[in-house]
Amino acid sequence: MDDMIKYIQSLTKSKKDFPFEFEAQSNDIYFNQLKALLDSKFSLEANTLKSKPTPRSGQLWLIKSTYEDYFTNRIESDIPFIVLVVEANESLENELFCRVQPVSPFTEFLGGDDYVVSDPSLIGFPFLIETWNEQPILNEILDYSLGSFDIDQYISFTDNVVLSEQKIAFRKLEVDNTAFLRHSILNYLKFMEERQTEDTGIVISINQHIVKPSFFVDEIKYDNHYAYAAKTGIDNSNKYFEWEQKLATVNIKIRIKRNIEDFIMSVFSDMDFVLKNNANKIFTGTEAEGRMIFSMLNPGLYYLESVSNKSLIKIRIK
Amino acid sequence: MNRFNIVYINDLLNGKLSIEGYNHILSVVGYYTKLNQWPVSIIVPEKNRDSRWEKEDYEELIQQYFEWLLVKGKLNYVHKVPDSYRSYYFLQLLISFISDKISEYQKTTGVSYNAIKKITLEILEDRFRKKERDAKVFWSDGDVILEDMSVSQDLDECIRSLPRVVITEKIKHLKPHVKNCLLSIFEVYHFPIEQEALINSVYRLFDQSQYHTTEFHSQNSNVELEVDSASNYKVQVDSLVLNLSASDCQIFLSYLFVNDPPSLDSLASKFNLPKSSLHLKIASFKKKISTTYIPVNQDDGVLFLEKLHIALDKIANE
Repeated sequence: MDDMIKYIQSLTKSKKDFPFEFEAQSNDIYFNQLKALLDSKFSLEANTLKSKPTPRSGQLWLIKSTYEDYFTNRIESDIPFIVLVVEANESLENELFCRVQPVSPFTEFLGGDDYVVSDPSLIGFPFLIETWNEQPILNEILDYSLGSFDIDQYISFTDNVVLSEQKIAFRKLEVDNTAFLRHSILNYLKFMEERQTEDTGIVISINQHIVKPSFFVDEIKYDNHYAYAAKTGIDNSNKYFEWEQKLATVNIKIRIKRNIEDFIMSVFSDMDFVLKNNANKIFTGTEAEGRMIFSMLNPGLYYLESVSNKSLIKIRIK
Repeated sequence: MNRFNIVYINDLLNGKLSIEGYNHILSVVGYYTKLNQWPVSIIVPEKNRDSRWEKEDYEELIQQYFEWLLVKGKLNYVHKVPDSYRSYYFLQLLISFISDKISEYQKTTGVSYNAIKKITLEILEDRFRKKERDAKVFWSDGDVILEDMSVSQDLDECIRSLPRVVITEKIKHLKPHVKNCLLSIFEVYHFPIEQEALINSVYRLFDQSQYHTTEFHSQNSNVELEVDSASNYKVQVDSLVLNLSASDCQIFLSYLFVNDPPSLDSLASKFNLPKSSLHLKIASFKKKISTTYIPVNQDDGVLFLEKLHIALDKIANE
């Protein structure tokens, strides 16, 4: 089991490189024997149906391998994750989240307080449910559902919770290795904490550089101190967020104004831009007085892509 | 190269593995072998645990790995494993397979005197000082002053209190343990030590009691068996040769019923089989023999094997 621990430990670390000096030819006896060994034994008909129902407790879901967090960073995982949803569709300021327990194929590390599903016909292999590693995740990182199971009928567990040294190490590693999951919501909480006003937060990212546009009230720029005051009560119907930058040789200014339910984005530049959301929907803007105006934008992640040089500006609006 | 490319794994399962795919699998397995420093002897027991991995050893590992997957039914529901999870699943199974092999190897193999001797001499040459006198070699971790020997303590008495190295599945390489033993010996014994006595002392610091116990039990279990004097071995021999092909019989005759058995390599090329398949075939037949008939004494055993030899010979020449 030490090899498994070592392997689990290596999952999220950078890998060393080992050159491999051997190569087989097509008449290699082992190669042909391996082909013959597995020939016609399996049917791997592609399961193209990737269902995305409303998350419910008791469902197993595959998690997306990459996502963009609230500060627009691209977060990637080396490990694929399957989770069991235990509480679904909780809301935190209109952002839906679930509480999930990760699933692990390493049933060798089963502890007395773990749930184990021995039936391989559910998702292809027996697995243990990491009840001790429950965590919240944003709904948006759920990729697709592997089915809804009455998980209770598959579960067996003993009440002996004495853990060996290896099982303790396994749990610690698993908690570390699943940081990818909870990052989605921890990052969201950080965003909420640091947002410019009590009801709005805007983050812009360009060339991996993240900035928060300045907050203006009646065309007066407020520094952090006043912005803080704004958070606690000052309000004005004419408040907006603005960011200006030289992009290559051209200036660009982005102004975002909040309506009651939605946002208006104005892009001031000589360059032409296309605005998309993270579902790849293109928004058509209105041109007026040297700017493009995109209205009725819902909170979300947007991509402003230059038509000429393809430079990309990511904008998170909440 | 630290992940299985799922395209090649799917090709293999669909019976369409290309040589590129095979070489890819070979290199991934090679990567993890090197990363984890798995000893070659877990796959090829005839080799020393510190031997170098050759191309055929990696191929043997792959062959045994996939045979293990089939025997353990790990691929029965492989079509249900999500595509994006399958690469991780195969890697996890590789680690489980190796863990099984290491555990199996450690349960059946003690540490040979020759292996300890070879490693001890390597370390002594590298790290310690020697002097020869009267055709004997003496070693010390400082200057070798043989005159001091007249006041030397009893070596056996000195090392009696030293901790033993228990051979467990955690031990994959002996060298660091042998080195520790040598350092410990010279820590408690401050005189030059004659080479043979030193190697003996190191060997004795390896606790192999579990293997002695196993041998003892297996010897005693034979004693408890009663003789079936009426038996002429027909029933047992018939059951052993049932469904054997002429080629199988030729293999068993060439390997098990000769005074000087050929190497598995030469036998594998003679019968045009991968070494792992041959090894599996022979090991299963040996196991079948030992479970089908347990002789009361040596004469009984010889008689039984003679009958079996005749039956195999008959089928081989049919």
